[in-house]
Amino acid sequence: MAFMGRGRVCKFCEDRALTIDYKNVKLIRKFVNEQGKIIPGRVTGTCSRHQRQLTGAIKRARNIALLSYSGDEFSS
Amino acid sequence: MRYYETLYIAHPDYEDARLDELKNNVDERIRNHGAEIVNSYTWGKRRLAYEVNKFRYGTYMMLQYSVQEPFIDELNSWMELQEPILAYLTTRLDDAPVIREDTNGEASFDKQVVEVKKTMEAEG
Repeated sequence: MAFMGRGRVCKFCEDRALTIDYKNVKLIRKFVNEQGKIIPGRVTGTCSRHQRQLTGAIKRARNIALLSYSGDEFSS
Repeated sequence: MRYYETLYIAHPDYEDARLDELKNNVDERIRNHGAEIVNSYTWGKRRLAYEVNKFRYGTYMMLQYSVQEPFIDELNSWMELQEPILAYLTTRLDDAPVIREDTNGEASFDKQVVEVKKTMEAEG
């Protein structure tokens, strides 16, 4: 998982072409930690507007089993 | 008029003919509510992030349509009763979806789909 570090510019403001979509699991996975928790915007540098859209997308992805609620659920 | 998108997960054993039958069934259901279908295609078989009805795999089916009056509640209660449908999610789209030319082939949204097939064969 790529870490962004503090104080960086919002990734989605920087790249306007980058749209937040619950189906884009590859992108969304960068914004949750190993436990499946949503990483706060102050850590990733995402602005509040995009962080709101992002949390919505993460929750949708979880609902349709694209993303786990609690990290890797098949750890057996 | 608004655009909506319904993503549903079909039973992993449903393939080819049975999958088409399910798809046509859902499509017809949506049309009966007065919706106009923009896209309806198989997104691909994927490993689920967690078990749904004890299944580890599922076939994701995408349906995009436009409708005057939303019918989410009716659709959800109907979807709930369909045994081959493991899960479903309907979202409103901000813009009109792009019309897909190739609706037969599996979507190449990501390459995981192909990898899943390989692991499924290996696991048996």
